[in-house]
Amino acid sequence: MSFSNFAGDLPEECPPADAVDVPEPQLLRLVEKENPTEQDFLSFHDIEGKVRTNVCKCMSFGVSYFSVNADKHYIADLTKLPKLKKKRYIATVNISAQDGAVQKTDPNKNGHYCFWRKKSFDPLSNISEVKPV
Amino acid sequence: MTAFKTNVTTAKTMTAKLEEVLLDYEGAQIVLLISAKRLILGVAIEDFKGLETPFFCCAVKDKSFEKYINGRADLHYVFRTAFRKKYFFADLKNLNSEINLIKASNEDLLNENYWPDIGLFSRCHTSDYGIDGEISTTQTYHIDGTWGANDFATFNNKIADLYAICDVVTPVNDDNFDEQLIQSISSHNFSSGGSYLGFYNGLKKSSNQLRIKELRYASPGIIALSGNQAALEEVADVLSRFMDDYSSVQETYKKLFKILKSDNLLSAEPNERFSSEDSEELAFKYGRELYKAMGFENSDWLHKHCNKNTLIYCKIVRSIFTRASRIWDYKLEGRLQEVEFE
Repeated sequence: MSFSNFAGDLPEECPPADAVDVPEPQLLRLVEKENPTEQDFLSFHDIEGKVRTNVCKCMSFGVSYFSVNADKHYIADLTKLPKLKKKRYIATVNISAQDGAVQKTDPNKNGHYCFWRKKSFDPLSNISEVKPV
Repeated sequence: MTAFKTNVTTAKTMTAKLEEVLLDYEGAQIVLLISAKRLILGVAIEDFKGLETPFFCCAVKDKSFEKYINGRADLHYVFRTAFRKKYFFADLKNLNSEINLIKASNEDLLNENYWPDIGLFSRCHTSDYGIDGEISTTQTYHIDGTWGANDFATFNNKIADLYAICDVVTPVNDDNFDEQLIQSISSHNFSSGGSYLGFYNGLKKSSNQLRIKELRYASPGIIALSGNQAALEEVADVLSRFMDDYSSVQETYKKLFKILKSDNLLSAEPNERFSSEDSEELAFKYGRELYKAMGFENSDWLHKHCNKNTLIYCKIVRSIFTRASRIWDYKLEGRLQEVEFE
């Protein structure tokens, strides 16, 4: 895995050593509108301009996705949180193993991935479907 | 920061420390804080008067938190039932430092954007904080035919009772469980239906939680239960004993029933005696046989926890049979199909 190909000015040690190639051909992403924009695929670091304090710093540069097999109720429940209420749609994004790296971050088996995309991968042009939550 | 200073009031002594990030989704979304031994729950919000990383928080009643963490209440409920109606805002820009709690005004509380919606439960947490270290599993009962509301209620009650006793009698090397079982046994006299209800309700409080994970009413449908793996396996084992040789288990039960009835002990209180030592010995023998026939191995252990009172021991064994038997009825009727583990 060549780390220099990743988007978003990642620190040297990111993605973390235990990140793996994307294991599924499609992943799900919570988005705000039926026609998603670049804003829907920004990382914490892209939005806040800083790194989170209590987790591995790589997480600030990754973007949350879900397995297509994830419990849809779980994804919908997240949108009951004040800061996630605007995310009313789920986009299905086609991703190949070479498009980035993921780390599974789901102790409760909720199918959540942190995804670091390669510079060559554009999520917007790989959306196959957008459905309401 | 100027707006922050002029528009909000910071209670002088109100500070908190982070206990746990309960849900993380591209940043902390639900946090648990502690302030002067009081739990505070906070949810990330879009903005509040110049705070860099604003959270809306409430002081939490212990009981509400327990309900929430056990999945019996949602986050909205915890906020609605806040301890002394104490609500705050906090800036969690640095989760590792002391956090100032800013009192929320009544006007702030009217803003729905700060509140979590109804229906968000602790199952969404990305942290396992507060969740027992038990190994949990899902057991799915496939059902068919017509199921009325009463059927679901009966099935759930009986399976929950059976699960609770299986969870408690499954060896766990936990002295607390032993004490709780002794306590449950000693505080009920097993002379009426209400007493058995109280006994099983007591067990349910001390056993690992059994949850309905999924209920599909369609015919065929499913009832999926989630709980402690060892206890759910024990439940399945009891039912498999019925499947293997129901008539033999039932025959042993009838012998026990007959001897209790002939000694007029079916509704007797624990201090009442058998008509003779032989009768008591026989009842104990049938009780042991029935307990074993249902797949339980630790007969002496249960007897010891009944303070070696044969009558209580027999009544508890009998009550396990009647509960399992009620569930088995659904199988005989063809309405309960196979049982499957995830």
